[in-house]
Amino acid sequence: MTPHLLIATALMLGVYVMLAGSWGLLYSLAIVLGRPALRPAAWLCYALHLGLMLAIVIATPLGPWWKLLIAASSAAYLAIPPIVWRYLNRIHRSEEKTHDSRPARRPGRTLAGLGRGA
Amino acid sequence: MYRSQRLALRYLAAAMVLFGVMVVFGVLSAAYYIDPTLMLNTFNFNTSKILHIDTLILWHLLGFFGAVYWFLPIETGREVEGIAVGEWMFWILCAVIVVVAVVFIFVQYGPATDFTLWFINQGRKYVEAPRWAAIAVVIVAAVFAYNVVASALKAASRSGILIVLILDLIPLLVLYLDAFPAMPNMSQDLFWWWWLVHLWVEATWEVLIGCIMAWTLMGLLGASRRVVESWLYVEVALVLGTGILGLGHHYFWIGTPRYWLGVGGFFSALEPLPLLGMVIHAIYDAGTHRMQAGNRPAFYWMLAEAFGNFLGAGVWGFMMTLPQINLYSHGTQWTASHAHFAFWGAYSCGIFAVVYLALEKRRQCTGLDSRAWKWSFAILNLGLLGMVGALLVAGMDQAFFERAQGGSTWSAFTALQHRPWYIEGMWSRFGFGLLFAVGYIVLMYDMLSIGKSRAAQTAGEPREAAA
Repeated sequence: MTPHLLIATALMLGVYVMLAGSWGLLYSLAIVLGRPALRPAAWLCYALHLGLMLAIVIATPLGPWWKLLIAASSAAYLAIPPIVWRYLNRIHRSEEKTHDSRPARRPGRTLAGLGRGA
Repeated sequence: MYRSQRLALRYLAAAMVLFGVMVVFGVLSAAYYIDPTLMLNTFNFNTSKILHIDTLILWHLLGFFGAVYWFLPIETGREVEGIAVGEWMFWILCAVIVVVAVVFIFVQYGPATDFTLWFINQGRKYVEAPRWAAIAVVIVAAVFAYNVVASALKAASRSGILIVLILDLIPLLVLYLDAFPAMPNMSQDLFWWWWLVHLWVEATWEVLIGCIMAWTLMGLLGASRRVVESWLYVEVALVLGTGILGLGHHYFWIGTPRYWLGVGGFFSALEPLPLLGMVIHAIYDAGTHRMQAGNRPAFYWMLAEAFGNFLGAGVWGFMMTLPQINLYSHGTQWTASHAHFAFWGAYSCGIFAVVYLALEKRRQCTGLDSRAWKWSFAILNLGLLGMVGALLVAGMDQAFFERAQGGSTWSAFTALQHRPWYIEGMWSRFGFGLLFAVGYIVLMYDMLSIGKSRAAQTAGEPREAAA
């Protein structure tokens, strides 16, 4: 690995995770804020993340197993936001059902419907 | 207020004071990089750095103890068992810290004898405290564990959070015993030393802060216990699943077998995945409450924790965790950048959230808000981002010129000290360090004053009404 490739590879790996985080952040914000316009931005981040993954696989001197791991991680990053969101929604909903007979402590502050569009 | 909660306030106050000591010696350590002859042979860089990193560990530990003593009686619905002993232990721990600090400042080091190991300095990074002090820490931690376990046993019911906490206390206590051995074989010594340093920080502390944040969520946002516990189990499983064998990234270059390159790299590369889940959870909770909470500083510090953890541990960690990169980056300023960011995000912000939550109850006012907390929040985070950015630039310069190009030779190290990017990085780190220190002063001002006028108003209202 040359010194230039060392820095380039490290920066690419950092941005790779940062873009995965941006995808998750925008995906969640689109639901929380009720702004579907953020959805394309979220997908754009994920597309950039995928592009960077390809660049890492093609252009960096990392070993093949590391490249495979990075490619597989991209699939995991794609799945994490919707899965976590659905899981959080499910446990919140089941909790609400359990307490349906009681008055809500903070009416209007639950996210019951937020994830339905997810 | 329970006696345990009064003890918690003492622990949290001591943690905040030690945080200040850490900042002072951090800024001083940064100054040595600009002028290496500063206080030469009077108060050398190594002593300043010891005080900086040891107080880092201690203030977090005190913060965790304080947080648990705060939430434990709420959780069990009764006073903490053996609280009187716990109170004694607090003063003993404070006395130990003061004596060790005085020895570090005025004696600093001794000859290579057992006396030095026992009474001056063990010479092992992060656990330099002499053995007598390390034994005292073990006793204090054992009493803390007794307080938690005995209270849980006496409680009418034991929650999932409490059970996770009790299970976590076992490695928390046992791994600290690693602070004692002095092995002549350096590879062997480092192998076990990392169990203490890494497994404490990336396993037991992660679980501990997970439990504390679960209680914080319930206290701050009124989150349902079932929801919080379900999420805690998932989070603990994921963090432990990646974090325990992630230990391997410290084994790359210390003389351990080659397979650690694969094991450490693989599990470290998985570490950002659960951190992304935590970010999603934070946004979900923030959305549930429309970014509004009665205690705004606690709420914002809790959000900062999720994002800081992802950036500091996830992004900064992933940049340098694969063996091919780590070969050149380990032990450079790049590592320091990652360590500063990850500690801040994973633990410090969480402790601030607990302090604000405790202050709300201590000052008997519903909801906390002020202008000062916003300033401290902004200045501290800006100062930290500036520091980690500067260290990253300097660290990359170091990895490039000193390691990859210069071949890690002594002459390459010396030449690096004159590289413009490295020098500018060190100056910027010092400048942002000073800014961070200003943020600390504002934070302390806010913590000492927030809610006091409202508490006085609230106290005056019944009297006026009666009149």
